[in-house]
Amino acid sequence: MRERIKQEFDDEDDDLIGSSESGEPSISGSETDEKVHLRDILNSAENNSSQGLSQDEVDLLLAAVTNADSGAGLLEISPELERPADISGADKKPLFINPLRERAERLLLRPRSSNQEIRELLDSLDQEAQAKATEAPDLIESSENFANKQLTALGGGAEVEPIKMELQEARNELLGTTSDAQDEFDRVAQEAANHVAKNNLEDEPVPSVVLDLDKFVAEEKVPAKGDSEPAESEAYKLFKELHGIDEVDEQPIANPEIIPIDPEMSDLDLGGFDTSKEVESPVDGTKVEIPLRSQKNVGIFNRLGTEAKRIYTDLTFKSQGRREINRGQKMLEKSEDKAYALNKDLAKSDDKIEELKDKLTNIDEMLGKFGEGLKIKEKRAIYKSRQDLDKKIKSEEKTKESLALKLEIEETNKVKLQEGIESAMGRLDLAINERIKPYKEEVAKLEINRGSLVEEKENFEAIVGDFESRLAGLRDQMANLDEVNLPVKAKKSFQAVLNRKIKDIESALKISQKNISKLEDNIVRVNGRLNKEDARLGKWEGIRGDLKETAQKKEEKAREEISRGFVPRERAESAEEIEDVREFSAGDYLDKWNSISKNDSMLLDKKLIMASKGELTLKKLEGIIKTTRFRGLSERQLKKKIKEKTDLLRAHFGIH
Amino acid sequence: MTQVDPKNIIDQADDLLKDINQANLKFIDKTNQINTAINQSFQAVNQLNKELEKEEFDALEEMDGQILEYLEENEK
Repeated sequence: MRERIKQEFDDEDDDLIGSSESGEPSISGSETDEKVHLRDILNSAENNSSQGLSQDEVDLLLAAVTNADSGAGLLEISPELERPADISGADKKPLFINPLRERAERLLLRPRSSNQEIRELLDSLDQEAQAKATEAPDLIESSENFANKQLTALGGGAEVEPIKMELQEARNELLGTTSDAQDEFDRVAQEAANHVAKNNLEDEPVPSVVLDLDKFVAEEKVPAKGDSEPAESEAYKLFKELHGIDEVDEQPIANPEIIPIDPEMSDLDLGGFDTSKEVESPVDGTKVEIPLRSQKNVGIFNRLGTEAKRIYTDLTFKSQGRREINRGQKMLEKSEDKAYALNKDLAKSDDKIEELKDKLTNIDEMLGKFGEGLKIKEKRAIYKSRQDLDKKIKSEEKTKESLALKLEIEETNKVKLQEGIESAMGRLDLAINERIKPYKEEVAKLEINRGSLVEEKENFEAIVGDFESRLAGLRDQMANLDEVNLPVKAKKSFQAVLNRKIKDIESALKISQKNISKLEDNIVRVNGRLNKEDARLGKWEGIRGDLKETAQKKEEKAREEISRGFVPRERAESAEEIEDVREFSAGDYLDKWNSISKNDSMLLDKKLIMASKGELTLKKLEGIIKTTRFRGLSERQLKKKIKEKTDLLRAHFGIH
Repeated sequence: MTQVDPKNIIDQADDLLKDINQANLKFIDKTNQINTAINQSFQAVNQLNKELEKEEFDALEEMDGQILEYLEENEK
């Protein structure tokens, strides 16, 4: 059916074309007037080069030129200018060298102002549209009339129903398409007019690309890509251009990176090779490693005997961690205890020797007094006792010498140990003192900066909250976009633009949240590291405190020694004993003298001496002793005995 | 109801994105300044601590040596 209608209209078109062709006035029929008119047009256009040809003038010229081709136009071919006959097989069209035609062609080719061009184009479109506007309804009406004629001829039977339906569908389709085309044309025409007005294209040369309205009739292409944004249609591009939505407004989303806080450093590895030694723990007997810190120390440790190794291991386990620095002091105390014990043994040995010597003296005295009256047997017994005593004295003196040597060695070693430890601890104390102040200053700065980070985080969270409120406001406004009086396609374009911008905003806000998270991580790391720095600072201050305390104790001890002389003390002394030692006691001195003089009759009268007037200092006592008449001893013996005993008592009481 | 102006909404969206970008940049800039200062302080305390630990190690090494030599002498 459609084919039949189409064929009908094609025939009509041909008729129309035929009639228009035949309807045009034959130019050759009124050639003189029209030729004159054409010449006037040419003259006017050539003289006024700033003005362009009007559309009518263009049509006329075109018609004149065109009809010249067919030989029926104004611009006749001059017979003498016929194409030469020797051009075989070539185009038989005549050569157009008629000057009027040439002038017409030149004028047609001359650029006209773009404004005029567009206006004329719009006018021609408008005329065309007006002509076409009636075309479709005319077409429909004609087709309906034709269809009705045919249907009537068929007699209106049942077979005509599908034909009627098809006809109705065709009608509707044609009307719908016409309406859409009309809308589209109206829109484009308006936009073109706005474009001209906006860009003020008066008196500008026509751009090389003429406004091609066909572009705007094409369907908007739907992109087939994945997640990327849809390709922009030409309509959208013009829309953007007209509304100032161009590439400049497409803001990149700022995604700056937050600098992380440095992680903790691993512990300082100061051992180039293994300088630890596996030992048995004194606590539970398990195998543990103790640090020796240098190969030299490892070598010495390996050479030590079992007992020495045990002492060292014991010392290490009792002084771990921060107390490690106190090991030296503990070793010194052990050394002092050892020296004290040796001193005590030495004193005992001395006492013993004196005792034996007293016995020997007694024997000598007895022999001197009663030697002649004694029997031989008795004499032999006495001599034997004397020899035994001699032996014992010699043995004891050897013991004493040995003890004295040990004491001397111990004292020497102790001094060397003390000097070494004091030197090491002194350097450490100096290093800590030099660095503790800047250390504390840096930690204080860290505390302040940590506070600043927390403050920044809180401030930024508030700002982001405000942004989120604004975004919510935008979304509310977008929800009301449907009520805006805009063409559908314009609304869709706005929606697409806004959706993209909302996405960008959401991405930017995600970045904000991500950065807040990263900042929180940083703050946690700073907190952890600050706690560690507090612990480190505590360690160094603790060591410095321990070193100071050790130094103070040493000073106190030195002061005590200067005031009272050396007093070797028991580590577990009772309070009473400590008190006695601290003050010189004449009574104790006298008691001690008498205890070592039981066998040699060099006893002193304590009551008598204590009743002496004045303070009984050591010097006074020794003076009293010197002048006491001790019976049975020669002057040389007296001098020697008194000196031995007083020296012993001085050592006993720590008086030098 | 007040007529919604789509162009105005677009302008608001542009302003909001601009403000967020600026705020992000400013926040990061300020935060990174503080983080840089913090890292510098941590580097400084790490250096101080490293020096002190070296001094402590040396002191303990010497002390251990003195103790071991003392014990060795005493055994002779």
